[in-house]
Amino acid sequence: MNLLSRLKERLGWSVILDHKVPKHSNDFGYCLGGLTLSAIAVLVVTGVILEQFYHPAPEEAYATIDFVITQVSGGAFVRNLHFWAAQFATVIVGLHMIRVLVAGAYKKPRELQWLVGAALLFLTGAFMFTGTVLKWDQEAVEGLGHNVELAEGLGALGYWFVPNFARDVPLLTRLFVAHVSMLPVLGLILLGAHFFLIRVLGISSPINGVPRKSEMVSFKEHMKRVLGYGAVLVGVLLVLSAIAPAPLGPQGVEAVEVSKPPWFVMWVYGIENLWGLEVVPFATAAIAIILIIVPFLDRVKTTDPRRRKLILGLVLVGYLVIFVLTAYAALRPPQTHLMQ
Amino acid sequence: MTAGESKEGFLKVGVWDGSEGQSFDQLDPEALPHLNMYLLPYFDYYPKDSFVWLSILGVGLLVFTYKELRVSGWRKRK
Repeated sequence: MNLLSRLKERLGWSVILDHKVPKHSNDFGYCLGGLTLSAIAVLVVTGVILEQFYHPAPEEAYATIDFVITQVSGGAFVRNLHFWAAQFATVIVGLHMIRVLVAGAYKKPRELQWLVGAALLFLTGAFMFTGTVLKWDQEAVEGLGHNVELAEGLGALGYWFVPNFARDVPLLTRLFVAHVSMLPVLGLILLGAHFFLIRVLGISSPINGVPRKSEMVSFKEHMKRVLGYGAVLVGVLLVLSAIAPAPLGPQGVEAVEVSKPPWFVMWVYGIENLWGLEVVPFATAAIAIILIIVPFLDRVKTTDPRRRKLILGLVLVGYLVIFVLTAYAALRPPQTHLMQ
Repeated sequence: MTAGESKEGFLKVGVWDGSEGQSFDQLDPEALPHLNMYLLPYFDYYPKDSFVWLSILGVGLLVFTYKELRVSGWRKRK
């Protein structure tokens, strides 16, 4: 008995590795969740390196990032890698959700799995927001300004985001704590639940029915496929990090509004342009509610897209609304939203 | 416009024109001893990113829908 099989016997790996999954699990669309995990692995490693040099105080934060980029050997590259991995993780999570929506993978008995996934989507947003603010450049200062004003409008619900929440600890420091400890812990719990539910409920069936026994492959084969895609993703990230630096604007000046937010919240900026900052909480809450009720709204048993025109129509309309708002905000010059 | 200062009341504003090769460094530090705020240009480095990523998501939506429709027998010939 070799070392690997001894470990396997003692660690109970066989529960995870020695089972069959449907053949369609190896399709690219069904590997997106695993692919996100590759991006998360890159984010964890680069994040741990970056936090060695980052000082989360408003007076020091920007200077320490400047130090990482200009003085730490390989620092700029690691930061670029962290940035690009975050961009790709967000897009892959989005594609993963689209795939689940289109294939109807949220249907009974996977309603809870869908809710955990929706929570993970919001968690991704929280990671992206806190990560953007940590840069402490102009865009970050303005982003935080918007957030504080929104939080003040929300009263008790937004109390954590108000600078007065803690007497001696700046909001930037607390957001750093959220980025490196609170959100990762929450993420681990949610990812654990997500994977546990996949193991319990199995990978969702293809839309034309339950796979036959002859269409099953070993989970190890699926893992190899996911790791292969993951390796390609890491390669792309490495190349991008070498040629395209992560943006860092000039040091933030408070009380001026001259920047636009990152692309993933550009549509929110569009809402602010058109209807004002006070509409944003309602729009966010509406999206959250729509996402939560999807499995309860789409009660038809079949996953055939032809018989789920309402839900697919909603997905398309939702995408188009976000696209139009983003394009509108991207093409307009920056506008003032605070202190109106 | 030339690099220099504009003084009105207690507020001093540094001005320069980047397209003419002027820069913040050319401002006289003696003339503006307490300069700690300067006019910022607009930052607009995200529009391209927005379109790239949103296109990927849009193409994803169309590809998955097409694929799933095909698997469901949409294009199956009798």
